[in-house]
Amino acid sequence: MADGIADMRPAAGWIDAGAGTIDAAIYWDPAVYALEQERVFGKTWLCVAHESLVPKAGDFFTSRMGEDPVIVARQRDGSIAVFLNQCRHRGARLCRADMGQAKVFACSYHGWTYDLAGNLISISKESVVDGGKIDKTRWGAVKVAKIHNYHGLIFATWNPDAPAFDDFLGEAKWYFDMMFDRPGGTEVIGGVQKWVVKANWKLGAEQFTSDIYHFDYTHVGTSMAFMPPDMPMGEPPVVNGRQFRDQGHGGVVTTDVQLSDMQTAIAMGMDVLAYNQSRRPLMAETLGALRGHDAQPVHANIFPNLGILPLNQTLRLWQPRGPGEMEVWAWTLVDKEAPPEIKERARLQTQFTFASSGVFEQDDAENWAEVQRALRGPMGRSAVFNNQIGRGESRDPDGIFPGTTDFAMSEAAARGFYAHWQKLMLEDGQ
Amino acid sequence: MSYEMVLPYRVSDAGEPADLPLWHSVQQFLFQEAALLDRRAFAEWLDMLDDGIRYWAPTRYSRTPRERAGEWSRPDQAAHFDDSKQFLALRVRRLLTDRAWSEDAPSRTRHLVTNVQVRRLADGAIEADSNFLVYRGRVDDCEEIFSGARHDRLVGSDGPYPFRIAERVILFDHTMILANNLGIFF
Repeated sequence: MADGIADMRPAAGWIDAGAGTIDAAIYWDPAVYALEQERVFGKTWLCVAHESLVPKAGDFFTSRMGEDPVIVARQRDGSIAVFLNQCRHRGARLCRADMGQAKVFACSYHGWTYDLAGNLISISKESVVDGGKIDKTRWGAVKVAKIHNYHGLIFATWNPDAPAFDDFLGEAKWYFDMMFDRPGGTEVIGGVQKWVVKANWKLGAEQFTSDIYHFDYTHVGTSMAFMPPDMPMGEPPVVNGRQFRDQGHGGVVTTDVQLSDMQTAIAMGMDVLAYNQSRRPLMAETLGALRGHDAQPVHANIFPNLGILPLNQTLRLWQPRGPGEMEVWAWTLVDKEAPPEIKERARLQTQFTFASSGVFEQDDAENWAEVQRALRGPMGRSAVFNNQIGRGESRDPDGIFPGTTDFAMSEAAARGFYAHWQKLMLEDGQ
Repeated sequence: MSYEMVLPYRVSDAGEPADLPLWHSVQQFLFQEAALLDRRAFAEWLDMLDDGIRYWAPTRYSRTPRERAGEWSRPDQAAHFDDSKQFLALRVRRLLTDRAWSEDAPSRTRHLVTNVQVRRLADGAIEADSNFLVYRGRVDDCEEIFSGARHDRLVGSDGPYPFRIAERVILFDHTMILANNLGIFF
C-alpha cells in the first residue's frame, strides 16, 4: 500500500484541521480504507472486550481489531491473552463461536491445536505427516504486541512501539477516569448486540468524539415523544460544559449536573439516577469533588473506535466492515456493586434508548447512512465537508477543566480526531 | 450437550392443542395484527397488547458444540427488544411526531405470518407459536428481510379483538442484525 499513498492523497492531505475541512474520500475510497486498516487499526491501541465478558479461566470472546479477527481469552493465571483468530497452517479461523468456554482452540481444517494463549500445542497425525520437524514454538497464533486492562476495558495493539497506555490516553485520561474509575469497578451486561450500519465507521466515532451539536435536531422526534403531550417544545437547553480533546480522543463533560440528572431521570429512570447520585461521594473520594459530583460526563470516544455514552451507560465498538459499512457492537455498562434491580433497570433503559432498536440510536444510524448514500457519484465523492463549528479554544476560560478544551458544542474534537487519524495515515509504518 | 435448540423461554407442558375454531380465531388475530403493522396503524396495534406485555427479542449467538444451550441470551442479558407497553407506546408516539427521521419516509413492511400453532393452557391463557418473514423497504435502495419465530401468550379480551398479547418472544434467525436499525415491529 505504501507506494500508492502519494497518488491517492490530495495535495493538502485529506484533512485540513486548520481550515476545518474533510475530504469525502476518507469515507468511501477503498484504497484509503485498506491503508487505514494497516496504519490506524494496525498501529494504535484498540479496545477488544470488557474483562467481565471473560470472567473465568478458559472463557473467551471472539473480537476484532479492525478487520482482523482476534480471540480474547482468560488464562489459568487470571491474565488475558489476545491473538489472531487464524490457524498458522492454512489460515482458517480457529474459532467461529461468538463467545464461550474452551480448553484449547482446534482448527476445524486439519486439527492443529492451540492453547488458551494461542501457542501451537499439537499437530494432528504428527508422526504420520512428519510434523515433528515443525518447530511449534515458531508457529503459534500471531499474538498482539501489548495488552492493557484499563479499569476493566481490555485494550490491545499489534504495534510493539505503541506508546504506554497512559500516554496513549494523554490528557484525556483525566476525563476517561470519570467514566471508568468507578468504585468497585464496572461490568457489562452479558452478551453483546451487533448490527450493521451502512456507513463508514468514522461517522460513528467522530460523532461520539465531538458532536453534541446534532442532538437537538437529529433526535427531536424522540425528545418530543418523551415530553408530556401538552408541553410546548421550545428551544432545548444548551449544555454548559467543556469539550476535551487529545490525540484523537474527545468528549464532553457538563457542570450543569441538574440538567444532566434530569436527562438521566428521563432516559434511565429515577431509580438509576438515585443510585448514581448515591455513588458520587465515593467517586469524589477517589477523583476529587469536581469529577465526583460537580461535573458529569456526557459523551466520548476513545480513538479510534470505542464510543461511550456515560449517561446512557452504553459502550460501543465501531467495527470497520469495508469503506461503506460498519458493525456496531454494543454493551450496557453497570457498576459491579450496583444492586440487581438497578442493573436490570439500566439494561432495559439502555436497550430502549441506545441499541439496535434504540429510539435515539435509530436516528443516528439513519443520518450516517444518508451521508454514505450520497457518496456514489463523482460530485458527491469529490466533496469537501465543513468541520469548522466552534471557536477552537484551547483552555478553559474559567480555569476549572484541565487539558485542551473548548465549549461543549464545538467541533474542535472532531478536527482533532481527523488530524490524529491523518497523522497515523501519513506516518510510514516502519 | 444437545444438538436440539434450547429455547430461551419455558414451554409449559400443561396444555392441549386448540380445537379448530380457536385455532382459526387466533390465526385471524395474528393476520389482523400483521395487517395493522403493514398499514402503519400503530395506535390501533397497541390496543392488541396487554398492559402487562413483555415484548422481548433476545440476542442470538454462534456457540461451540458443548455450549449450544447458550445460543440465546438469558432474560437478564442483552436483547434487541425488551419492552413494556409503556416503551412500545413511546416508540409509537415517536413515529407519530413526524420527526422520527429514521422512519422518514416510513418503512414499507410486509409481515408474512405462517406455521401457526395454538395451545390452550391450564390457566386459560393461549400459547401461539408462529413463523415470520418480514420484508422491509425504505426510500429507494433499502431492502431487508428479517426471518424468525414468535412465541406469544394471549389472554382473552372483551375489547375490539378477542385476545390481547400478554407476552411476545421474538426469535430472530440472525446473530448480527443486517439492518441500520430495528425501527419496525415484529
